[in-house]
Amino acid sequence: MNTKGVYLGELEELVLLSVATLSEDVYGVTVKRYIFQETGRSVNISAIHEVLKRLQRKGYLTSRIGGATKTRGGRRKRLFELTAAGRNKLEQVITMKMQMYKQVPNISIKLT
Amino acid sequence: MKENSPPKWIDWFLSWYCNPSLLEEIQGDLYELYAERLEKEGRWSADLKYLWDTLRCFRWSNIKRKSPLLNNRQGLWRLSFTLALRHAQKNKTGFLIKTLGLSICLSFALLLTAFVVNELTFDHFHVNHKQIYRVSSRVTFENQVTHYAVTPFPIGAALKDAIPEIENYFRFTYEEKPIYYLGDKIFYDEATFIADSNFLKVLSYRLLAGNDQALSEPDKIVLTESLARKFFGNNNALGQVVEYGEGFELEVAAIIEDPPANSHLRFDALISWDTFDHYDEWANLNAYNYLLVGPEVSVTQVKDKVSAEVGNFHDLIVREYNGTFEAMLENIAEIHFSQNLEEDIAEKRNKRSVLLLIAAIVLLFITGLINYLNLTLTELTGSIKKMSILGVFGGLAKDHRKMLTSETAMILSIVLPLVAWFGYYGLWFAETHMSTYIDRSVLMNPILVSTGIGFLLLVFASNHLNLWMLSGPGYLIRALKGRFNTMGKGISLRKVLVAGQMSFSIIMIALIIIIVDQFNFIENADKGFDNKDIMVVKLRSPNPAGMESFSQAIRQMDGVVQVAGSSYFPGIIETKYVFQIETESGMKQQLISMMNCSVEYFKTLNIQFDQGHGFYENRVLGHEDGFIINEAAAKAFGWEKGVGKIINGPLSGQNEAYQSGKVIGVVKDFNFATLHETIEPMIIFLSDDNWTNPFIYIKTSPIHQADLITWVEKEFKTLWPQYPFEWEYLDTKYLSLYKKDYELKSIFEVGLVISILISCLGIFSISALLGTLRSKEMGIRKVVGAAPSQLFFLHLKNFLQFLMMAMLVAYPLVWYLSDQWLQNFAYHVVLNGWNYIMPGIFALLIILITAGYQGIKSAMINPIDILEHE
Repeated sequence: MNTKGVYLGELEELVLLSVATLSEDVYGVTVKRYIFQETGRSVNISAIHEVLKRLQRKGYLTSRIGGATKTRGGRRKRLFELTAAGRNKLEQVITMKMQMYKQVPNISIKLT
Repeated sequence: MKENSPPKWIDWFLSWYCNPSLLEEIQGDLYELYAERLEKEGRWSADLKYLWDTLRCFRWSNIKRKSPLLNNRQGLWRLSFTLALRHAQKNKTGFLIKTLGLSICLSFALLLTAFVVNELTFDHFHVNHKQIYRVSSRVTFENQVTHYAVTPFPIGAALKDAIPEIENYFRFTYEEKPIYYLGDKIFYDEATFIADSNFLKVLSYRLLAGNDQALSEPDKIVLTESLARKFFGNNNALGQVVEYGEGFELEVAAIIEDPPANSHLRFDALISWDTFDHYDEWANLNAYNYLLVGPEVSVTQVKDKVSAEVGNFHDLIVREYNGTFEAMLENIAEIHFSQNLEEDIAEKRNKRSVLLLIAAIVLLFITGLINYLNLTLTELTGSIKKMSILGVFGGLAKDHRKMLTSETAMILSIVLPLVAWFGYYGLWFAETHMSTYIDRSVLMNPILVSTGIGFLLLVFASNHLNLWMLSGPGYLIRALKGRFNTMGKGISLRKVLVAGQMSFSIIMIALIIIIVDQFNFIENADKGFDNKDIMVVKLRSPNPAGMESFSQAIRQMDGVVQVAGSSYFPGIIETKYVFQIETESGMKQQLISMMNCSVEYFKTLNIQFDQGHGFYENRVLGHEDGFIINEAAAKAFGWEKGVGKIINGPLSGQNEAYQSGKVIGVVKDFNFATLHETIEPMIIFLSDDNWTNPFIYIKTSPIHQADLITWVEKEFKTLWPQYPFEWEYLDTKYLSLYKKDYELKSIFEVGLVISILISCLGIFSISALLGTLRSKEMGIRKVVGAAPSQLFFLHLKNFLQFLMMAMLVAYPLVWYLSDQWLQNFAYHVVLNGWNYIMPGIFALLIILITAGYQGIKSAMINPIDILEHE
């Protein structure tokens, strides 16, 4: 599927951030947990799966199969990892947001 | 742990819709979440949320797709094909035996089926065959009942006029090899019917030229396609003229398609009825009459009416003789299987033998199938470890089945053309060597086609079933554990079948030996006359002076020992005549076979006299020479001393005796018919101008034969240039009477070869199977110290058990079957011990060769190869 330009959706951004941050196994459940932990948002697992797939299609993530556990009934996980393109994209997007944000008068956040 | 899993039905729903490549990760995540929620929120909530998540996962991108899989499937078929090919190349002998064995069995089974269908649909060619009946005559005369296939000329028409249920009738007489002249060419081998105009209307022969009015006018002839081609080549035969017999000119009025081989009406030409003057005699049984009854008519009703009507003509028929006449009806399609009547032109077949054939077909097919399965199983068993490991690692049963299907398809693609080829060759062989004709239309018969398809489907299905059973998980696990040595039920069934095949072969071998014995007996038996070096010439002219000068001329020739004439020749249709013979209670009338011959007859054939003497040589032809009878006649008349008794006859229509005289000699029985029949009583008298000798017997010295034939022919042509020169050697003719038996012998010879082949296949396949199964055992034995010879015998021991079983079954059957066949002969051989021992020895040899091959292989195995996987 062709990406419509360089925009990153809101959930996409969140998921990308999670993948970039998490050090342990990055897969559906851990991303969902992390997002909930950070934002309090309870995203449905299927949405997370979809976004992860989309990001992989766009080239920002790679994935591999690995790690079955008993809780999962012996089923393996699909583990995701940030690509160089993904990292660049993330930095690009955040930088752009920061730029715009800096121009808002009277903001109280400290930007470094 | 069960309580900690989410509800099964939701799981099932998920695995149903979800794309298999995504299923694992999605379901895994869902399970993990479920476990968390179970702990934190309790079961109810966890279940609910699980359901919700599952429903949410029902997205377009997660659902199973068909199209990408299609490409995979094609690739998979091609792959399986390549694998199958490679598999076959790896095991060439096995593959060869499998396909050849299956092809031979299938083609033979199909050929037999075609034959059975051919026989069972005899005369079904005619569209309304269910309504066509032949009239036959049942004559009782002096307490003797004779059933004739012929009836008085007028009976068909009379019955049709009298009984409304009879829609039509037709009749014909049979001319034995009449002569046709076409310019300067002579033809004398064409079966001819003289048929009335309804013949073509009632029967369903297809007209290629002309119309069905062809037989309505006199001097018309209808030719079959082949005869038209024989007479006229590729020219149009319609309208041409053919000369027939003594000056008849017949115009070709129609040409019909060749009649089918499976019909009792075999003819090449039909001549119209009105060409000849027929005396509409009621008193002679000369014609074959057939009736066509209406479509919805009850046959029993018709039969009753016929009996009633015949009463009206009864006196016309039996006015001279003291007897009774009954008309019987039999359906045209049943003629082939019914009893042989007097003067019957139909070829008869025993219905029981057809049923036996059906049994043989089934046995043959099952045998071939079992062999095929056995060999497949053997190959599989060798690779079962590999298969089960593959299975554990996730090889889907579906894909494995695909491989099996393609392998079977590949084998079938080789088998089918082979079957077609064998079948065609078999048909040709049957026609040339066994004179068994199977009509080509039978090949299109629905029964045959569906049987063929049924066979193929069975092969396919049973192969699949067999292998599918083997790929079941339970089986594979047991295989891995190494626990599957003899496979219980499956193998016992096969053992029984192999024993069955073996007993079949033993029966065949034994029967062939008996048949050969009987034929030797026939050739060496004392027939009561000497038939060596005698050639017989057939004279068509009734001119007695001509015959006499012919005989005289031949007597002068070099190398001729004796010349004699007779009215009789082996194989002609005999007619019985009425004679008056002397008994204690006066002259009694009897129907007896008779022959008239010349004075030298008995000397020529070296027939011995029991009492009295032959016709005096120096007596002039006259009426006073008296009669000669054979021993059987003397016994039948109750005469201890036959010489001197009075005989009058033959009696003509007006009860006038042709001659009256005393018996001057009693000859020892001589058997002109086959050993199938007992010798019948016969009266012999001297030939004269009215009772001539159509057959001239010439006894020659063995040296001059070739030249003699040319000289005799020249003499013949000088006297009768218009007639064909027909002659035969008496001993060849005599043997040709046994044609049906020779056919049986040929069939048995073929059957023997086939059954031995199948037995070998069977033993080979089982032997291979056992070899592979017990290879581990053999390996261990060898390690423990068994000598190769011991292993060899161990392997063979199984088969010796088979042999014992087979012999037990076979011997009573051999006795029964041979008894049945030998009963056909009034004179036959008696079975002795050797008849039973020889087949047993043969069977043992077969086993030694086929099973021995495997035995040697297993005796020479390197135990390391077998045991290193343990």
